[in-house]
Amino acid sequence: MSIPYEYYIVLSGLLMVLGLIGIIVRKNIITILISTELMLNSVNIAFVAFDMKLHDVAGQIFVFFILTIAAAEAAIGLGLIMAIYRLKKDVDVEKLTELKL
Amino acid sequence: MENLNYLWIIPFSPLIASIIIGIFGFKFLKEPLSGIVAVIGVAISAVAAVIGFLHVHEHGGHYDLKLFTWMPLGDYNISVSLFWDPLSALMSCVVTVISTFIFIFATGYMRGEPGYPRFFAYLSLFVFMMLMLTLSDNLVQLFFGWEGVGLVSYLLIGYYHNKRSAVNAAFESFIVNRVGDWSFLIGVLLAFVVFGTLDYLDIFAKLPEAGYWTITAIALLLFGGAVGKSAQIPLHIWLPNAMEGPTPVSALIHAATMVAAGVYMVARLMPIFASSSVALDTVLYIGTASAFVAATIGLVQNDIKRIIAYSTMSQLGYMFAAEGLGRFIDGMFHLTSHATFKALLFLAAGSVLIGVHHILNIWKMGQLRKYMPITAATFLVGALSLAGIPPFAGFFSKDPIIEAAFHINWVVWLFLWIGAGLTAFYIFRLYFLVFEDGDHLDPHIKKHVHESPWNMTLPLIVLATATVVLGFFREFFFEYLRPVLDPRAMPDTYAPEATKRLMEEGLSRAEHVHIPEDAIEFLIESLTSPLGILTLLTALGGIFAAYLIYQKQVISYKWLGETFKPLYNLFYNRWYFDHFYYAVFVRGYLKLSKYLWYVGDKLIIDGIVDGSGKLAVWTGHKLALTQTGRISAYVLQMLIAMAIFLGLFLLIK
Amino acid sequence: MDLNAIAFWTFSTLAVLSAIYVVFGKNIVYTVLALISTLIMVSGLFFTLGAELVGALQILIYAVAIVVFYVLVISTVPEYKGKPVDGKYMLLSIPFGFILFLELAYVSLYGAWQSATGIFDEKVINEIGNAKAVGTLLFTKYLFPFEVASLILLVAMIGAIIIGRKKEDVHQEA
Repeated sequence: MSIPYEYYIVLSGLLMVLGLIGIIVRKNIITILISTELMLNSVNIAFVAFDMKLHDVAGQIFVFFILTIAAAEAAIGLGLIMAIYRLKKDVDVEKLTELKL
Repeated sequence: MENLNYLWIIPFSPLIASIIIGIFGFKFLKEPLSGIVAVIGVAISAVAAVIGFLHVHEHGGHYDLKLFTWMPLGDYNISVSLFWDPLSALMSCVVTVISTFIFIFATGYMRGEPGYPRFFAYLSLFVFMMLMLTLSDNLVQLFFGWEGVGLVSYLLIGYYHNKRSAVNAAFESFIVNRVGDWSFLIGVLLAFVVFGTLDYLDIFAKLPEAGYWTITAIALLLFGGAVGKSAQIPLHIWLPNAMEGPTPVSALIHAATMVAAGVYMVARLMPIFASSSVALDTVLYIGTASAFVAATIGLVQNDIKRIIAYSTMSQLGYMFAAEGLGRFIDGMFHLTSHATFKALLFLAAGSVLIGVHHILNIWKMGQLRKYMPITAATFLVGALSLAGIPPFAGFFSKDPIIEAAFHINWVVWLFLWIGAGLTAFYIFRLYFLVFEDGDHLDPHIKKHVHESPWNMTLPLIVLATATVVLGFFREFFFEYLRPVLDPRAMPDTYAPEATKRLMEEGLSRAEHVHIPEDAIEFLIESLTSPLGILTLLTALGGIFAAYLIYQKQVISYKWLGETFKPLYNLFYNRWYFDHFYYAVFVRGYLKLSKYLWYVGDKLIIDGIVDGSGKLAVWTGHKLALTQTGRISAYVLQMLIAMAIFLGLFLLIK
Repeated sequence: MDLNAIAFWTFSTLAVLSAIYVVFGKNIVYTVLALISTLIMVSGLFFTLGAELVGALQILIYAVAIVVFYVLVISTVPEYKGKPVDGKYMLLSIPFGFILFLELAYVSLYGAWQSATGIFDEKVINEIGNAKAVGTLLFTKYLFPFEVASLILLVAMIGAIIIGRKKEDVHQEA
C-alpha cells in the first residue's frame, strides 16, 4: 500500500514550522537565511505531493520555479549580508535595529 | 361666452413695464421717462380691469382661464391661471386704478431722487405680484403673489438703502412676514394633503368631505399668513417701521393693497372660513383687538406717517372683524373705501413732506393750510371719511360694521365703538396740529413751503372725489358681490349644495342682522335709530375733543399726559410689544446660539476633531513600541498571528 | 511494508532530525552540513513520490549550488561568537509553532480537498515518463513564466554582483 498523500503534507507542515521557529530563534543572520531555505523546501514537498494526488504536473513546474527563485534569493540575500557585514562589522541580528522607532 | 383673453393684459402689462424699466431704465429712461413708462403700464392694466369689471357686472358668473401648467404634482397640476369673477374683478380694479393715481403722484414725489428708475421698476413689479395674487385660481399662485409682494415690499422699504433704519425696517418687515408665510404654507400643505387639489373651486366642492377640525385647522393656518401680511396682532410690529420707505410706497403697499391682501384672501376663501365658526371667531377677535390697540397707540404718536400707519392697522382690524361677524360684503366694501381714503391720506402726507422738506414730527408743523390749500382740503376730506362722518365713504363702510357687531357680540361692539371714537380723535389731532393753528413751523422752511405741482395734486383731487362719491354705491356693491359672498345667491358651479349648507351654518351668526343696503336708506336709518345716533355722535365727539385740545387749547394736552401717565406710557411704547419680542426672541435666540456654539461647536465638534487627532497620535506612540527593529520579533508576531487566525478559522468552520 | 513506505519513513525521519539540528545547532559549519542532509532527504522524498526530474534538480541546484553560496559567505565572515539561539524567543515561538503545526496537520488529515484533476494519471506517466510529462507542460502552457524566470535570474545575478562589491572596486574603476 502506498503512503497516503496526506502524510506528505503533514511532513511539509512540520518542516515549515521548524523553519519558522528557526527564523525567530536564531541570532546569526546567515543561519536565519538557512532556515528560510528550509521553509522553501517544505513548500516544494507539498507541491509535489498534491501533484501526485491530482494527476497533474503543474505543481512540479511550480517547484521548478521555486527552485529558481530560491537560488536567486539566496544569492542576493548573501550579497546583502556581505554588504551589511562590511558596514556594521557584525552579523548579530539583535544589533541590526536600524528600523527601530 | 366672449373671449376674455384680453384679461391677461392686466397682470402682464406692469410686468413688462417693470422689465423694460429694469433693463433700460438706468441708461436710457432717465427721469421722468421711467415714471411715464410705469404709469402707462399700470394704466393699460387699469383700463383692461375696468372693462372686465363691467363685463362681469353685466353677465355675472366666473371665468377660469388657464395659461400653462407650471408643475404636475401627482394627479393635480399647478397652473398659472386667471380667475375672473366679481370679487377678483373688484380687487383688480381697486389695485390698478389706485395704483395709476399713486404712480402719477410718485412721478412728482420722487423727482430728483437717485435711483428713480429703480423705484418705478420695483413699483411696477409690485403691481404685477399683487395682481398675480388677486387673479389666482389656486393656492399656489396666491402664495406666489403673496411672497412676491412681500419681497417687493422689502425692496421698496429699503429703497433708501444708505439709511440704516430703512434697511433694518426692511428686514423686520420681511422676517415678520415670513413667520406669517410659514403658517400660510403649512395651511396650503395641509389643504393639499386633505383635498388632493389646490384649485379654489375644487376645494370648495370637496369641503363637506373634510372634518370640522380639519377645516378649522386649515383656515387658522391660512389666517396666520393674513395676520402677518395685514399687520394684525401679534405680527403687527413691522408696519410702523415700514414707513421708512418713500411715501408712495406707504400709500400703495401699506395702505391700499398689500395689507389688504389678507382681507381679500379671507373673502376669497370664504367657504373655508365660513364652514368653521372657530375660525370666524378667531378672525373676529384678532381683528377687534388690532382695531382697538392700534387706535390707542395712534393717539400719542408724533410722526405723521406712523399715525396714519396705525390707523391702517386699525381699519384692517375693522375689516377682519366684519368678516369674522359673517358680514363679508361689508368687509370688502370697507376695504374698497378704505383703499381710496387711506391712499388719499398718505399721498396728502407725502405732499406735506415734500413741502416741509421731510420733517416727520407733527409738532414741528402748523398752519400749512395757508400754504398748501389743496393738500389741506383733500386731507380734510380723507380725515372726515376716516372718522366716519356722512356723506363720506368711511361712514357708509365703517358704521355698518359697528352696528352689526352690536347685534351679534356686544363685547366686540364695545371695543369697535370706542375705537371709532379714538380714530376720529387722533386723525383730527393730526389735522389740527399740521394744518391749522399750531405755529411750530421752522421759519426757514416757512419761506419755501408751497403747494405741490399738478402731478401730485391731481391724484389727491381724484381720490378725494372718489371718497365723496363712493359711499353712495353701497347698494351696487352688495348686488355685485352677492353671487360670490352670499351662499344663498351663489351659482352651483362656484360651490355645490353641500358646501353651501356648511357655509350657511357658519354665517348664521349674521342672519338676524338687517342693515339697509341702499346708502340713503342707511343714512336715514342711522340718523333715526339710537345706535346710529350714538355712533355718529361719538365720531363728532372725537373731532370736537381734538379741536378743544389741540386747536383751541382749552384743555392742556400736557395735563392730560401727566394725569394718565401709565396709560400714556403704555400707548406710547406701543403696548410694549417690541420690547417683549426683543427680550424673548432676540435675546433668547442669542442665548441659544451662544449655548450651541459652546456645547455644539466647541465641545462636541472640536472635541471630536481634535480628539481624533490626539487619539491617533497616542495610539501611534503606543504601537510604536512594537517596532523594535528586530526581525526575530516581527516574524514571531507573524507566527503568533497565523496560529491564532488559523485556529479561529478552524473553530468557526 | 513495501519499498515506498520504508523509503518514506526513512527519508522523512532523517529529514526532520536534520532540520532540528539546522534550527538548534551551535556550530555553523555543522548547521550547513545538516542543511545538506535535509536537502538530500527531501530529494529522496521527491523520488519516492515519482517526481524524478524535480528530485534531480533539487540535488543539483539546492544541495550543490546554494550550499556553495552559504559556505562562501561563512568563510568570508569571521566566526560569530555569541549564543546560537535566543532564549526569549524560544519561549514564545515553540509553543505557537507547535499549535500551528497541529492546525496544519488537522487541516491536511481531516480537511476535504477538492480540485480539478489533470490529465496525467499513473497510466500516462508510466508510459511517457515524468521528465517528458513535465517538459510537455513547461514548454507549452507555462512558457512565459519560464522565460521570465530566466530574466529574474539575470537580474539577480547583476544585483548580487553590485550589492556584494567592495568599495575599492568602485574607486578603482573610476
